[in-house]
Amino acid sequence: MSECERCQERLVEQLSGELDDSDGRAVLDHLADCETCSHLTARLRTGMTLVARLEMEEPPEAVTQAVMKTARERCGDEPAATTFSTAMLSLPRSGWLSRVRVVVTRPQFVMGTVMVLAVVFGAWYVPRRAAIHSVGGGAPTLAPAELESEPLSPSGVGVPSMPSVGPELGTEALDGRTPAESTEARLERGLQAFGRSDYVGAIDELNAVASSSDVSEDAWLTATHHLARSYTRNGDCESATRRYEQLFGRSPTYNHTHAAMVEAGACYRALGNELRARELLEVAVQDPATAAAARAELDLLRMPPHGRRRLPIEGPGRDEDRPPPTIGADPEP
Amino acid sequence: MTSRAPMNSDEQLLAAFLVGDSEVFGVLVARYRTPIYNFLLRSVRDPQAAAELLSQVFLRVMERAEKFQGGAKFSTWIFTIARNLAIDHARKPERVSATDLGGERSVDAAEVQRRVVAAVELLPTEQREVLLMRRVQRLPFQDIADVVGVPVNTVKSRMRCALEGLEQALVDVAQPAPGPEAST
Repeated sequence: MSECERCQERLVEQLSGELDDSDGRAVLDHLADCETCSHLTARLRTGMTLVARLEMEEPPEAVTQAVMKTARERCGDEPAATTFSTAMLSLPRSGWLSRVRVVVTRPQFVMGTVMVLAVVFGAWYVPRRAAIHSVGGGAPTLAPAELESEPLSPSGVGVPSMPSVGPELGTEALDGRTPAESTEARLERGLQAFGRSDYVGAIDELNAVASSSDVSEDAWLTATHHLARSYTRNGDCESATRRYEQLFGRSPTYNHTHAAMVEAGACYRALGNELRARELLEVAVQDPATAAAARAELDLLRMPPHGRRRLPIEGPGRDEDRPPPTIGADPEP
Repeated sequence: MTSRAPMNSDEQLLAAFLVGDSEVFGVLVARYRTPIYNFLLRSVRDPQAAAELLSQVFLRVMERAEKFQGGAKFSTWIFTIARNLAIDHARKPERVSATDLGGERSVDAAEVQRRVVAAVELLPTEQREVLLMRRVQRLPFQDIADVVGVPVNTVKSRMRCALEGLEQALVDVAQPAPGPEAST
């Protein structure tokens, strides 16, 4: 096997940061002297950047709900959609609640309960029906007291009247915002909330902007990036990484992709997904503007877990909690 | 939100489900629904079919949980189930080939995304599945080799070919994005 073949066999691992130090050094030494392998490395790195742009889509929520319903049925936490299935008992269960559940779903128990209820209802209804017929001889009538309690419409017909609704209430949404409120206004409010470290408020506003159907490209990019940052600082790295991945799907039109990759790298590191963190940081480190930050994050990845600093997600009071730079023509929060 | 989830491995969660704790299954679903869905989506190229297959994956996990070998990795097992279902689906004569990219994005971003998706979907199956398992779940090469049933060096070779193929297909959109004027 030639030196080039040996190098090319390890390139993917090298680019994924999965080679140990000695193997990695051997590959780098070869790349320094071999134009062919260097060219291949550049192509593979570009391929990795393209793969990173492959947006992750969320499955329909209905699937999750259906799966969880089945899981609960199997564990006996929820009545099965069918009347009764012995399959529900296939999983070992313990506790009095499970035993009671098994008993009350037996057909004998159900039939007995229905018969008892029928007897009780008959004993109550038959005497009452006889009394109604003896008073009115026909349809049941309302007692005077009941009539007085029924509000009348102006026409005097017994139609319940409704309190009047003023125009100011009629145009106001329940959350206090007008339905026609512009995405620009919500974006500005979201950025302001972010600037004062109100990340919950920022998430609320920016989510609305990012999911709006008529949002401009610039506004979407700004909203999504700040949304990812808000999630991060609110301690929700999983949601943050989802938003960062959406952002990378549009990176050709966005000026801060590499900065976002450094931030996302820190999130993935916090989540324990070091491979993805490394993948993003390896791209960001090639941009002079983000090289230092990316290198610092890569250094953290190389440290043993107990020696790393924590991701700045605990709340305000750190340097990282400064409002991020505004993007494009967006106002400073 | 389940406080115990981060402390439990997938295998421990599955064991807890087996003794009747349904809520831990929700943690497994939350961990794997997006990676598996995206793996299926790019494999079968039909969102509706992918959603149906996703539910089948989790149902099979439930049905066969008792047969899961304790020494095996849950991630490898569930991807094996997903891969087998995708292969079965591909064998069916009537397949819908469609990619719903949503309508909310701008033309440029949607176009890039569409081309990346199309290029991935056009890769040979053996390259695409390796690429997707790396992309959606960061599975180690050895785990992918276990799922696919080939030597690990073959997996690496397929990954390299897939990356080269993508670069070749998308050379015009692979230019780096404009750098930030003001760095963070």
